[in-house]
Amino acid sequence: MTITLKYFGSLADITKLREEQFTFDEETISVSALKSKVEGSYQNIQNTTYTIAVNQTMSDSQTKIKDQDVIAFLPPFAGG
Amino acid sequence: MINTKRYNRQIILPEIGETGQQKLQDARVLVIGAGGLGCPVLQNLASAGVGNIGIVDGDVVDETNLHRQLLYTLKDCGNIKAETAKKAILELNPEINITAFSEFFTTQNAPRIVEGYHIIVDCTDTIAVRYFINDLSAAKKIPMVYASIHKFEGQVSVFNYKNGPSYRCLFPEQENLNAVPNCAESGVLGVLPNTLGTLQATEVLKIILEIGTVLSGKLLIYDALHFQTQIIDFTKNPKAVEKGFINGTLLLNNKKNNEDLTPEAFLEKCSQLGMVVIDVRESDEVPEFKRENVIQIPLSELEEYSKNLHKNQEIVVFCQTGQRSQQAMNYLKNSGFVGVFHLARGIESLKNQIQ
Repeated sequence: MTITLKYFGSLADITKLREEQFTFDEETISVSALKSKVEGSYQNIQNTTYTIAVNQTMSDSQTKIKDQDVIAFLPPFAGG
Repeated sequence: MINTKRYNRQIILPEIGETGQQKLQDARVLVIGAGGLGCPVLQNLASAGVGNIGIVDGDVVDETNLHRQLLYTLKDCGNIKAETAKKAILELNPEINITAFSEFFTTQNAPRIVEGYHIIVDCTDTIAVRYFINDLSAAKKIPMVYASIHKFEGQVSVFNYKNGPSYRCLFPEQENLNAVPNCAESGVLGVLPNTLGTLQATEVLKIILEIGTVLSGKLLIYDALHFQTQIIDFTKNPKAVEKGFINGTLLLNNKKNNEDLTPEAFLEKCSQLGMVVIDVRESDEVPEFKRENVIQIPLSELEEYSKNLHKNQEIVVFCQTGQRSQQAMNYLKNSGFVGVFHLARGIESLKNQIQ
């Protein structure tokens, strides 16, 4: 399966990307498993707070991700 | 009596009318922060005829504010923001009541300040403050209209609206010491907070007028650089809502106040015999604050260090702006320490007292 990851705010600063595609052999993957993979690729993300949305809906760690899903990595913003 | 001429162009909207204008006139809205977001919120609410507005800000106008904070001019630099904003918006609309609170919004003054307001607009720049604004809003059952910005991006949402989800449902507070927001200054495109603040003001007016669909349970994300918007749906997490409600209720009943220290209270604590004072900043951060009982333990090492302390040991923690020390204090309290305090607005608030 192939999914699109979007990074916002400080997370885009860490990944130096706004968007990228990930391809896996699995047909489906949980949000927590994806989180581990992404944190493996970008270790500095481990030290930040963020929430994950799947297809524009907030997920929990058990949410299943499937082919063509769009995953948003959303940190809280601080500025005012 | 409503000035029907001034508000004619909105009164002729069937969704508003004179009834709606009266609702605006009777509304009581508290705007916390009179900076990048606060300025457009205040301008728009005042012009629309929101009858009672509170402005909370303890800062003074600085030249670096002027590229985005359009209420202020060069001659205002050095003057108190809340008072300056009050004067500027009364010039826009002298027919409304403005209360200026020239103080930073803290757990100490919050119960007094929020009293009597029906809506809170969060225009602050500190995540720790945002959590307790959420908690007060949850406990008082009044909505909180949120926005925040990062460089070219912004977020908007409305929390605790008619029992809807809260800020904690979207971003649960991390008790993990490593997950700390960065307090370094990052730049911002001047127009960005004006866009986001205008969206906040729009939500405030809709809430007061009871028209349209309020941005509750939805997070709007706006990317100015690529002109992209997204709306993320999120639902209520009962545990997160309850946590906020309990915290907020404790705050309102003054049960939680004395752990946030003012600069004066902090210096007094530092001079107390037997007090352990921990600087949780990294070793290269300035200004230095050295006293006999001050030790430097960066946040990432605090967990290990605190294992050697007795749980009855009184501890004061501080950092640059108060964000990391708040995390440190929460961590220590959760691990059983009973007397923990922190310098609420960090060493930066102490600049006048230390050389």
